[in-house]
Amino acid sequence: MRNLSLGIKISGGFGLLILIAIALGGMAVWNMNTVKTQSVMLAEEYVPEVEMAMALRGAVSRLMFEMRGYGFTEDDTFYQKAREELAAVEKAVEAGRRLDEKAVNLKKLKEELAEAIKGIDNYKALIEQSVDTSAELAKNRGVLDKSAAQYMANSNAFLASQNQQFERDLAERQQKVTHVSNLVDIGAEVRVMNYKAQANNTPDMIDAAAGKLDSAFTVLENLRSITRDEADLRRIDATASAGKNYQDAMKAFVPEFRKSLLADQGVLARLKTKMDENAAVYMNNCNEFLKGQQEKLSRDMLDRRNKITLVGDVTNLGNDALIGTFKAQAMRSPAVIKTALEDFSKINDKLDALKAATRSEENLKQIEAIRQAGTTYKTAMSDFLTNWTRLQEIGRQRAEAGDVAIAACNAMADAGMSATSGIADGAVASLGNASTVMTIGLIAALIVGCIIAFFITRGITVPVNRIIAGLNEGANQVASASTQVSSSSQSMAEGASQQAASIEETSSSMEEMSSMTKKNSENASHADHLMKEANQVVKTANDSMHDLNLSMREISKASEETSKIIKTIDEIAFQTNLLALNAAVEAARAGEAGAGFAVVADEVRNLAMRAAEAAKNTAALIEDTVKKVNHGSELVSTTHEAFSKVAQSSAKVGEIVTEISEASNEQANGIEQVNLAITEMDQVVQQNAANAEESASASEEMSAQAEQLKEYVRDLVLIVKGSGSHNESIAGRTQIKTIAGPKRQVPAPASSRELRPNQVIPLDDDDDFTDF
Amino acid sequence: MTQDISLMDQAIREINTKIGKYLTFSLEKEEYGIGILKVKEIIGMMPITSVPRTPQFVKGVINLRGKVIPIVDLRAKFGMAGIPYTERTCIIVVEIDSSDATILIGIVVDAVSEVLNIHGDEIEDTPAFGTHLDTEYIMGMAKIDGGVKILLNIDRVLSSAEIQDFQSIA
Repeated sequence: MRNLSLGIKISGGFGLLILIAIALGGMAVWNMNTVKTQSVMLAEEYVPEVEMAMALRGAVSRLMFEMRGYGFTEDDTFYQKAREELAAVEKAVEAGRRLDEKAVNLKKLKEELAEAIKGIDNYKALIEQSVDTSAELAKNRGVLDKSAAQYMANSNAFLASQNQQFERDLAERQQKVTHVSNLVDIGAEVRVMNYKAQANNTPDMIDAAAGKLDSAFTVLENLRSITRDEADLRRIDATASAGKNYQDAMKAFVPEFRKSLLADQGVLARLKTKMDENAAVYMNNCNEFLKGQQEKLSRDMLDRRNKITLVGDVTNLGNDALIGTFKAQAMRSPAVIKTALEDFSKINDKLDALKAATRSEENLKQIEAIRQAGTTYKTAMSDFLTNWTRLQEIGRQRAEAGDVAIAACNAMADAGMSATSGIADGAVASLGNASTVMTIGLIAALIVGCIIAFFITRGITVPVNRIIAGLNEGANQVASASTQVSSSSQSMAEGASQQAASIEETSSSMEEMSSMTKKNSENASHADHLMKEANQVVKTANDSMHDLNLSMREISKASEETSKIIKTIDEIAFQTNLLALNAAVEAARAGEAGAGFAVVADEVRNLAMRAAEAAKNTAALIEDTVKKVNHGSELVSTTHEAFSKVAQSSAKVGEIVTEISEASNEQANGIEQVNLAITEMDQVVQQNAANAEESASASEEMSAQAEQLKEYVRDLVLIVKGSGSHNESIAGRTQIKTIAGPKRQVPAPASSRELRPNQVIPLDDDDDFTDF
Repeated sequence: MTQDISLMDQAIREINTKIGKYLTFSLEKEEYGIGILKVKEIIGMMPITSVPRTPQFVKGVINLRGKVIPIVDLRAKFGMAGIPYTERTCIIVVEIDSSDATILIGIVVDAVSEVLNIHGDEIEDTPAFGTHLDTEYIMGMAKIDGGVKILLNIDRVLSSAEIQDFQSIA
């Protein structure tokens, strides 16, 4: 193992690790693939199977639900919905068939699907039957309603007729009673009148009473016309004859009674008795008739009541039957209809009873009609019952068929689910297996890797350490040497840079001086120039002064001329004054006649005064002007003198300035030369400093490189051994240094002393600057 | 006729009572007045021909439109110092009554002022300064504007002897 190269060792180790990794990976991948195939099967076959089964079941359930709704309510909307669900069922079945063709592993699918299809087809047939039965049922219902209506109508008609007859009989009876009452009233009245007449002895009243009985005959006739009963007729006749007898008796009584006191008492009594007897008979018969009528009335009423009750019962039974039908439909129990059918026998009994109690042909026909209608109703009801029962039966069969289909779906779903769970378990098992294998393999890889790493590392670090030691030694030696060189050249560089600095200072101050001198000379020449300009200006001013003087003199002259004129005016005024005074004198002399002239003289005097005044003012002004002009003149001359002096002084100044300017120029030249010399000196010093710097930096570089080398060695140490082993190499280093140190130390200072002063910069030489 | 008489009377009265117009002139800052009737003419200064052997105050004679008139310097007459003649210096030609005739004399004055109408209440009689002074030549004192103007009796200014002389000169 020691003789192999580092690269081979490392690559060998890595290769082994890679092989292990590949093996583990391969196994894992194989397991995954198995799981994958199973999952594919799951996804493509089992899960769709379950899906489809569920879908089919759902559709079938919904179909059953809709059909149930239809079965209960016969509402067409349910049927339509059922058709939609049927379409969905078909679709699901179709999906199932497709799946069956595609799938290879679904074994139970085929037979279960066939089962389901059978059930569904059955169901479809039953649906058709249901629809037909529903239609028939509807028809039955129609018939039922119609016959029920007919029955009711007939019953009601009978009832109506009965009521009608009853009313008619009642009216008749009432009429008869009225008549008989009238008869009674008339009889009573007649008797009362009779008695009253007998009591009051008024035979006319008896005649009146007799006459009244006629009306009774009329009534009796009326009564007869409306009576049919034999007994009644006899009674009527009896009443009539009694009445007649009474009448005759009364008529026979009257003449006897009229005789009053002369009347035969025995005849009277006989006649009275006869009257009373007949009256009694009359009244009796009437009362008998009345009673008879009342009895008949009550009998009739009972009879009618009976019939009406019967008819009412019949109607009620009919209603009960109808209600029974509806109730049965609502409660969905045919038993109720059966109960309702029993009602019909009851109806028949009632009808028989009614028939027994009826005599009228019309009524009998009506009864028959009712019976007929009842029979029809019954038939319709039983038909309805039959159909309805059948519908229920069909419903039950449908449910069975649906259940079959659903059971088949469930079986398919179960098969699918069991397969799915099987696959899932298998996947779990295989994945578990794979993970176990992986774990074992990783552990093995870890162990192998560790061993290999250990051996390789050892193979590298031992030689590297040896190399490190040697490098350390060499680096240390180089470092110390370079440090010495560096320090000596540093000091040389410092001295040179100090020199350069002082030269810089000198140079800069010389620069300043030079610039100052230049500025001076510039300023001087500028001043000279300005002076010359000033001179020019003064000259111009002088000339102007002169001109001013001249013009002022002219003004003076003009003013004098003007004053002369003023004087003339003054004289004129004076003369005018004299004239005025003379005029006044003459006017005074003239006395009265000269009064006007005196006025004129006065006015002239005024004028003279004014003129004199004006002339005086003007004279004064001119005086003033002249004075001012003179003053101005004086000032001008003073100024002129001053300007002359200024001109002189500025000329002098100009000269001096020129001298200054020249001197400054020379100064500037001198300084320039000095500057040049200094610059040259500076250059040389700079050079020296640069050289010293260079050697210093070169030694610095060397030192730095030595440090770098030591750094690299330290890095290598770190890589090989880690930070703990730093002390070992340091110890090695110091050891090496002390061996070499003392040999070096003695010559080093001497040589450095020799190096520094002599060769680098000849500062000890006190030569003048001409060297530069 | 009576009118003339009344006029004359008035004139006389006026002359006697000193009321009337006076021509005022100035001499050495003093104002004097002469009655207007005494004044013949006023003329400006003109060259005077001096006559020898005349008193100091007689300056000479002038030729005024053919007439020879003697000129008296009033300053010298009043004893004031003489001054050079200015442009305002004038000659007043006055008529003086002498014993027998009126003669014209010109007096030199510093300046002529105006003709004043002086009322009676403004005239004061000459105050007596003592017996030595002869104040006949002063007619009176006129109070005008706070100042006093001396009204001269020109006839008395010059004595008769002098007048005689003048007569001879003229």
